[in-house]
Amino acid sequence: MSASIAAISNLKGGVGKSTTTVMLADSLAYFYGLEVLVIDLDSQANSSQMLLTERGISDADDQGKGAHNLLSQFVYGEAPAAGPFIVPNAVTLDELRRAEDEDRRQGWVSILPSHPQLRLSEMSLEEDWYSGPGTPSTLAAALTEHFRAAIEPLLSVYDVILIDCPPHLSPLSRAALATAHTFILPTLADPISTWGTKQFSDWVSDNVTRQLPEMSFVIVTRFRNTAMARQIRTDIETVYLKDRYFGGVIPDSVSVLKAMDRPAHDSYNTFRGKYGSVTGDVRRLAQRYSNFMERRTGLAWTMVRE
Amino acid sequence: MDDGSRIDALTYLDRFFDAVRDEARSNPAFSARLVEALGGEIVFPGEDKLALLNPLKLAAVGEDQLRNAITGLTPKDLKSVLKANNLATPVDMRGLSVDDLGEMLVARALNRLNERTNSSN
Repeated sequence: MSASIAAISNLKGGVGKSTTTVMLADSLAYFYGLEVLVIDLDSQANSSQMLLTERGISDADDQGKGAHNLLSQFVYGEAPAAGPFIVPNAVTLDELRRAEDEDRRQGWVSILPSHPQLRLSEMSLEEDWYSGPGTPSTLAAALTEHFRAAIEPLLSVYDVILIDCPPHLSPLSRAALATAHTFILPTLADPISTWGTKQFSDWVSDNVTRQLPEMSFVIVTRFRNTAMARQIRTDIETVYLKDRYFGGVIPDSVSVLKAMDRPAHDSYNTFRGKYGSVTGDVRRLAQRYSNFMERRTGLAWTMVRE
Repeated sequence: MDDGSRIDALTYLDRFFDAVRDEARSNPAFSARLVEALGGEIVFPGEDKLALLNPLKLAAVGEDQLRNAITGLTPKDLKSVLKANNLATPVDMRGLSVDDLGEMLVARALNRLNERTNSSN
C-alpha cells in the first residue's frame, strides 16, 4: 500500500472544498473500504468540524493533536513526524464503526485536524522567516521538505491522503500543493468561481507542475439546476477546463448541509441516513474518483459495499 | 380604486390586527415569534408544544427551563425534537429509554450552545 495524496484546492473560498473533502473521505472509506487520512490545513477548520465537531477539535488540541503542532515541530527544528498529531478515529458512519467493533474493519477515516491556532502559528513563522534573508518561496520549499518527510511513514498506512487546503497561496498551502500527487478542484457553476479556477490553474502550472491537466479532478459543487448554471457548467467542461477529468456534480441541497453538521462528537449515522437525497451523488463522486485514479495509476479499487 | 377602498384609518387598523390575530390563532410558530418579538414569555399550549419547542433557545435561557419544557414528553416526542433540531441521528437514539433521550437532549443542546455561542454573549 502506498497512499495517493490529493490536494483539495481552489483560490476562491466557499466553493465546497471542505464538503468535498468529507464526502470523498466518507465515500472512499464506505464504498471501497479504504484507509483515508484527512489533513486539514485550512485554519477555518471546517472539515475538522464536520468530522470531529468543535468539541472534538478542542479535545484533540488538549491531547496535543493538530496540524499546528506540525508547524511548531518545523519551527523548533524537530525531526519531521506527522503521526503523533493525528486523531486516528474521525469516523462518523455507523457501518464503519460496527465493522471495526466486530473486528472486520473495512474502511476508516482518520484526521490530522486543523485549529484556529494554525493561522497564528503560520503568521508567527512567516514573520520570523522574513525578518532574515528568507522569502515566501524559500519558506514554502523548506515546509515542503518537512511535510514530505513527516508524511512519508504514513504512505504505507493509508490508501488515500486528502489535504484540505486553505483558499490562498500561503507558504503552507504551497507546501501542501507541492506534496500532492493529484489536485481536486471543486468549483461552482458561476462566473467568479470559473475565474478563480483559472487563476489557480495558471499559478499551479507555473509554480508547482506543468502536468496539472492530467493530475486534476474537477467537481462542480452546490449546483443549482438553472439555465445559467447549466450553461456555465457546459462551458467549464467543454471549453475552459476541457482537458481535465470531471467528477460530476454535487447539487445544492439541504441534505448536504445536514450531512456536514454532525450532531455531537459521539454521534453516528448510516451512510444513507447521513447523506439522504444526495447519497447517489456522493456514491458517483467516489466511483468517478476511483476511475480517475485507475486511469492515473493503473490500480483499480474494489467496491466492498453497495 | 372602488368605493370599498375609501375607509378610515381605524378601519384599516382593525382589519390589519384582525389579520394578525387570525394568523396567530392558526399558526403557532407565528404566534410564538410574535410573543417573543414583544419580549413576552412563550407559553406552550397543549398540542402545539412539540412544534414550538426550540431546545437551543430554551437552553440559552437556562438548563432548568429546558428540563421543564421537556418534562412529560413521550419517547416519540423526544425523538422528534432531537431529530428536528439535528441533535441526534436515528442510530444515536436506537434503544434509548425516555430518561436517556431526555438527558441526551439536554446534554447536546447545552453542548451545541457552548460550541456555537459567541463567548462575549
